Amino acid sequence: MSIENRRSILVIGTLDTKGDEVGYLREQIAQRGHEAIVMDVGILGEHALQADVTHQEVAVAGGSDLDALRAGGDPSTGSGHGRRRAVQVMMEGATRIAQDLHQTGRLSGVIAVGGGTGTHIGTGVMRALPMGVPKLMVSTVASRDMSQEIGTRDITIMHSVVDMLGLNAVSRKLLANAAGSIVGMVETEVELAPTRPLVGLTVFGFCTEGAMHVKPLLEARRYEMVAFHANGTGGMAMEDLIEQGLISGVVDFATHEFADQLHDGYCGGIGPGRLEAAGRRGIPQVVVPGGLDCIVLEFDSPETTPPQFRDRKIFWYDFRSGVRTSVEELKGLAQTISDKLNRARGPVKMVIPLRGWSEADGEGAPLHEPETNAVFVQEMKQLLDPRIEIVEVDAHINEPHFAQVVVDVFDDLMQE
Amino acid sequence: MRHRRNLAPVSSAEPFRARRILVIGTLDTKGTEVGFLKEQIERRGHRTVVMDIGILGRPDLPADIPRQEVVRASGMDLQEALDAGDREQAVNIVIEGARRKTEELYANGELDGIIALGGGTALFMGTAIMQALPIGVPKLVLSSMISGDVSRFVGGKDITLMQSVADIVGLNPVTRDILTLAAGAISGMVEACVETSSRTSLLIAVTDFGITTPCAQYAAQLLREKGYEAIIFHTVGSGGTAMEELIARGLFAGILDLTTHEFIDHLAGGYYGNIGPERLETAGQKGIPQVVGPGGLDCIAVVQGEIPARFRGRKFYYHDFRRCARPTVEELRRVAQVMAERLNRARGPVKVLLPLRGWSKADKEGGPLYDPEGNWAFGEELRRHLKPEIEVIEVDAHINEPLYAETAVALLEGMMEGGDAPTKSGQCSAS
Repeated sequence: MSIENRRSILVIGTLDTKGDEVGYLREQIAQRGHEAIVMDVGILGEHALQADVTHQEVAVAGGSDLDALRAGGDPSTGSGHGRRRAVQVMMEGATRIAQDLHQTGRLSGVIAVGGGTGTHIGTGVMRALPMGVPKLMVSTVASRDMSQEIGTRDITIMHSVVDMLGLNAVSRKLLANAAGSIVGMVETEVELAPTRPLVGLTVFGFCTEGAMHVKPLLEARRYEMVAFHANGTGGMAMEDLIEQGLISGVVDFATHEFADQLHDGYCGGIGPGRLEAAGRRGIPQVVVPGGLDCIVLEFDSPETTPPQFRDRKIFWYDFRSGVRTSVEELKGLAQTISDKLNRARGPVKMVIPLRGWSEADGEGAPLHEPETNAVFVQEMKQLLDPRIEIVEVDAHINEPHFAQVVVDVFDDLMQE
Repeated sequence: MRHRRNLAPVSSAEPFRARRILVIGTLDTKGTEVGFLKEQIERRGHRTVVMDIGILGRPDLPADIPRQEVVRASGMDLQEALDAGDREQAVNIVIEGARRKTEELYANGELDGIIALGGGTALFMGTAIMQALPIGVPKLVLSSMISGDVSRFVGGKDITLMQSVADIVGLNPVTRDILTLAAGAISGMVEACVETSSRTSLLIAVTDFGITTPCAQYAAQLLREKGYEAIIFHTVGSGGTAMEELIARGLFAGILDLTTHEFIDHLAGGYYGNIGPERLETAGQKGIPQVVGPGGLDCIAVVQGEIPARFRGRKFYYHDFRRCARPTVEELRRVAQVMAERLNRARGPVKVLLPLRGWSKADKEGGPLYDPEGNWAFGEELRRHLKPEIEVIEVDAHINEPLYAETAVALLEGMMEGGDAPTKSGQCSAS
């Protein structure tokens, strides 16, 4: 095997409890021709396995040291605040070391193995590494709500099924699969190649049709398009990739997440940074009020409709339904959105479809309320910085003509 | 922008051997993406079998197992469901057919791994189909919908979930990069090889939870010394479910279910209570000896958000970002009734072993959840409901003291004497 193909894989675990498993992963990785860098994030005991990055080094990188952490809280007496802090310190230290390894080109991928605490630390480290660096978490707790652990990152999670407390016939097979998986990922070759400018596009179910019209039009103008499902995490993932400099321009077609955010709706859950990264990096963006006509909530009958929405128009969908946004809510959204766009350092335009903002909002559709939409447009005109133009189009969001205008406007911004 | 592509593996413990990977996707909407994934896997040197699980539109990639064949395998009528506008039934028909085709490929030795890709549909259908394969066979789902509650998809299987940060719609530098990585991940998995151990010791299942880990560790060590191999399951809902599945497959000669924590979460609304109806039942059905303990029943896990009103005013234990509330006497009595009901159905030998000095790291003298009266009430309720054949034994020790684990292992060994050795499975490359 040639040395140039040999990659380094960071292996993270608490050696006091997962030493055997980490050792087996190291062995499997080495057998397949790569180097494992073992990092110990355990606090309490020692293990025969020699770590390449010791727990003391991790604790110091986290701004403390092992003795202080051990003295800080004895979980057996219930002073768990000390334990919680210790876990936090180890996570921060491990993150710094991993970032340093990555920046100096010594890390091609990362794998961690753990239970509740190990998963917390391992995914914490992974979230701090850029997209494209292979990340695999082997976890005993991977069968539940993973939104906090994964966030918006490209993390792969393997459910370990059995608890990782010693090697046996089952755990050996699962760990071999895991080592194989990270090895297979780091063995993909990455090469530099010129490509067309990449455009980020947000999509939401009720305006998917319109977004699908946008795609071929962008491609005809030599752009490549990457779609993000505006479901809370999707919009935030786009913001992350913009921050990483992967995206040259944005068509924020579905800003619907802001409406859901008002009432903790189905696609809410966005962070404060939504709609800000493009402006901060100064890349062109076209913003469309796709889906701001409705708040999507989980209810499916008049009986299960939350009382505060019983007087509103409702679009019955499946287990979810759309509630019409009110004048007051749209005024608030205009404030939020204009505040963000006014801070943009790059070119911005807003394009508004006058005949409806989603499948639910159009002539004959259940949430059709042009006069309410008009209030939003009026507010935006007052609040937006004069350099941000608002283009009104006499079309529905899902019509081909609307997509044509959006792409024309976007292309002009990109040429500026 | 970087371009990533798959190459032949760098090195392997054994000569390279092409494996067969089943690729599933809805070819009417994801034909291009499935085609790219297939190409990447083949670049690495493996063979692919593409199965179409689309329902409505025209497939835009030829499948090795086309939709018609999948539907035929289900033995049901797809057209009827479509005519009735019953999308749910149509999806179920395709899942059923695909499961049968998958089982058939595996049984014929024509499947070394499986990968599914797409959005929410892929996550739902792909994981449902993967339930048909045994633990150990590499299973990977690439989806943009991973970052949420995946418990009902993963269940007790060793499914690997890869989060796609962009929607897998069309090929662009981001989706190509992700698809290439996914191809690498499944390829690397099917190439994995576990050396076969020449020793075939009997396997014992042991349950644990963070706050009863020393108990499981003592038990595992004792079992090893006696020539058994212990397999430990983390009782967080999925762990217990996985153990029941492996018990059903005949992997174990005995069960040390000393941490039954999941039952209090299940009944009192804790975090890890997502247990299946089989929990605590399979060993009994199969007649496998089991020793059952109350490990972790002192603690209702609260993980995210604020402490719910119903737990306010209770004793609390702070683990890290997770917290535990002490159950009430009534809750423990209810748990005792449910456990007794399940154990009473056992056809094999069962013993219950109660540690008198506490059930977890948090429940011991001076510990934050210490409550001997509550524990006593649980024992009393259990005795009242258990059938007379099931003996309840008390040990004057804490659950994490060696004496408790020693007693449990001795009781189990006593019940196992004269039992048959189970067949073992799980060798190199998933077969």
